[in-house]
Amino acid sequence: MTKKRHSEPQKTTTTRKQSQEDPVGGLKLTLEKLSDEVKNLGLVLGISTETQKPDQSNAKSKEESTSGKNDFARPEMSQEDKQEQRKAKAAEKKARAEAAAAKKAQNAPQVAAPKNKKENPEAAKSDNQKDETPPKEVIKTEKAENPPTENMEEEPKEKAVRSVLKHGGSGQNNGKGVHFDLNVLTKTESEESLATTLPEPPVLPMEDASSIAHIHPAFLTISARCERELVDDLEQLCKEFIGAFREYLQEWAAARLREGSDPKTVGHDLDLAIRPQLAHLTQFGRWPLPYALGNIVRQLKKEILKMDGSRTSFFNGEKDPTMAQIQVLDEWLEDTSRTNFNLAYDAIALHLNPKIKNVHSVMTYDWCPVVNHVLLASLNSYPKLGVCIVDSELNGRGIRHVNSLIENGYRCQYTDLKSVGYAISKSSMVVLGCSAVLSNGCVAATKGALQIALAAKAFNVPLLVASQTFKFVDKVQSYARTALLSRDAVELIPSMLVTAIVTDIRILPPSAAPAVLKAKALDLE
Amino acid sequence: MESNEIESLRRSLVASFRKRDSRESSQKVALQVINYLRKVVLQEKFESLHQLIQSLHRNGRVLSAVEPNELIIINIVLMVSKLARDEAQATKGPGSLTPYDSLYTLWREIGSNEKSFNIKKIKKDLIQSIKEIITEVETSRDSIASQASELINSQDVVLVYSLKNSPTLDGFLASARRTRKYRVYNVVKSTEIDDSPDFATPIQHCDVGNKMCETTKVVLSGAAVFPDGSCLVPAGGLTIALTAQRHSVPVFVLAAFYKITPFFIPDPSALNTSCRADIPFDLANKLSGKVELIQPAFDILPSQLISLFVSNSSSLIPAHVNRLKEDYYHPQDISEF
Repeated sequence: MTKKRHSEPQKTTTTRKQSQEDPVGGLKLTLEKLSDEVKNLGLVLGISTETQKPDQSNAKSKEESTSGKNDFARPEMSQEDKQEQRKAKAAEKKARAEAAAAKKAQNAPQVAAPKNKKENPEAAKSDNQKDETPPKEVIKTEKAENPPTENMEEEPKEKAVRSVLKHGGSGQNNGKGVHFDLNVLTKTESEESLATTLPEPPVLPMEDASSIAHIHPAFLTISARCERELVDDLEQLCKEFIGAFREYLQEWAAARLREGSDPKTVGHDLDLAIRPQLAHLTQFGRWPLPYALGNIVRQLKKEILKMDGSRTSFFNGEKDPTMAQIQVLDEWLEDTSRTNFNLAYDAIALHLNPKIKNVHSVMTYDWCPVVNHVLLASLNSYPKLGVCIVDSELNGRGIRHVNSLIENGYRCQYTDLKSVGYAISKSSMVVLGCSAVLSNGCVAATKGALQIALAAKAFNVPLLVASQTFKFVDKVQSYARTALLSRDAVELIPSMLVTAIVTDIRILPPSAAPAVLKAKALDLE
Repeated sequence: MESNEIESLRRSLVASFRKRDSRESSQKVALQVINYLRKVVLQEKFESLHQLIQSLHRNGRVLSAVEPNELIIINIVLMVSKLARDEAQATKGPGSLTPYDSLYTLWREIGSNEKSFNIKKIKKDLIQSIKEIITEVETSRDSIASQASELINSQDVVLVYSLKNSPTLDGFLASARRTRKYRVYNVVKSTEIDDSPDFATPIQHCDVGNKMCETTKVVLSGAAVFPDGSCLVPAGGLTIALTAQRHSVPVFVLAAFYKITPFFIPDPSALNTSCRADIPFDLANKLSGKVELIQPAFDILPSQLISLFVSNSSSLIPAHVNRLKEDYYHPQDISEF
């Protein structure tokens, strides 16, 4: 892991070496030049007010990219203002409605009045909370995100700068050549459409403080942890996501109870509420969620939409229907987590056990918790089983397998990807973990797994893939990158190379993937 | 029999083999062995061709016993002994026959005349042809590199492996760079990314699968070529070649003539050497006695994965290696050695 992290900046430095000597200084300079040019352009065109927009954004992005945390104050304030305005409007509406209610129900005016009083301080409290919390979050996430983003976003930044330069250049030419045309354009009311055609600020939308303000800290933590590569495999990500969602659910439920809204719309409202949260994780749909996590989210949404208050008869313990429904959802989440990450492991190990019985030596590649569990279980039954762990490079993620085997008192072989040609000839079975099984039977696994699969095929060694059923997705690969686990790019092992997939239901050929999707209701309707 | 000078020469040669901490370039090894054999031929006294060849073989066996993994020693010894036979043949004239001549020749040339030959002349001619072979070894890199412009086209994306350890590969790419504009992916360890030369884009071994889609040619450097068309390449070459085959990307193996091994190795893994694993000390300490680290130096590349061998005289398909073998080795030597 550490090696990987080191390698990232090295890569970028090598690429930048060719272009510039001092990248930060160069970037600053180009941005300054650019802003000057844009100003000049504005002056030439006589639209000083309009041109400030890109100018500001550029300046902001520049300051953000360097170090400035203070500069969040301005957009933050505007956001707060907006929120306050909204609050005020909502309060007015409420007041009106309550006044009307009071008029109608003049019999009990004393009840309405204290309610009003009660609610007001609450609203104020929530206002305060919301006002106070965002800056903290912003700072937190900034702290968390800054170190990796420096590495990560250099390329996008550069690209953005390039595009900015291009735009700027062409704009200037236009300004010189087709002067009147632009003037006409600026006077029209389609100002906003013009603004959208202006170059994007060279920062990701994720970094914008105003967009983070309403995101729950639990989700912010997840994305920050993924950025820093603290979460680097899918299992962990799914577990953390479920954990974060449960946390979010509790707080949302509490807020809901205070509002005391209709229990029948719980599902609908929750569905609306989680949308921006999920959008934050996918960077507003920029990348799709990792395959299997997408599955969990889809199932979760299905469960949420069931919460329409129609099943209140099932809730025996809870008196409040809202709370009861949320409890059911919470239990579902807990159950999903337990089924997929504890029971499924045991089931897979159980199914693999008879197959591994006569095997002389097993090979695996990279880290996967399922495979680790399976290996330990098999070694427990057959202590003479040889285990060969292959890593993309020595002392990579696969060392976790080695550590866990050593801790349990087993011996193993350890090697790296380049030595597979020799190691595979000594192995009689390959067991791989995966991050998804696609509907056409292809297996998405860690980078380098394809080479293992090809070597296994060349040496006629069976290749089994251990996968829980929730990792079966009704998709084929249409994109190379996913959100959150972006650096942990996956590679597809074609179904031709996979002997069988060991799932928690049974051992299946890869061609049975559609059947699993159907059986587990994971297919897209 | 052997003079002290030969003995000391051999000692120094063996010492130079043993002293090195990593494998030297094969060209250097080849030159060292040829020079040693040249001195053997010069110093020792022979009465007949048989003695000369026996002496060469004896010296070769001693050297290859010292370095059993170095196939080049055997190759060079057999090559020199073939030269000796050729010289003898030339002195004898065209009339003499050997059991390995073609049936047609045997049928046509009835009645060989047993000419006595002059061993001194053979020796002199042998020294001359050894000198020629030295020049051939020395120029082998250049002649391989000169074929680069035929094999690499403009806009190609070439994936190379173990560029750091192979001056031949480096020369090949440099030669192609002079006339062609192409991109290079250099497969390296993550720790060596900074050391990668400027003209190449460094990628890690696990990225090979992804990058193979863009690659149009794979160039590997061979360590030994077997008569069946398979070859030894640095460890990791096998998975690269397998990936290339999956993506229908041609694989070229650069191997000079002295890397063509004249006989089949039934179990090439037996002569596979291990190299040192570079892991941190504390990890090594933790793993010691519990974990076996597998670090072979070479992979065996079966012939069906190779599109073309680039040798110094020509480029040839794996099936033709056996034919080329006969240019350099005498069948009697192969069976006797």
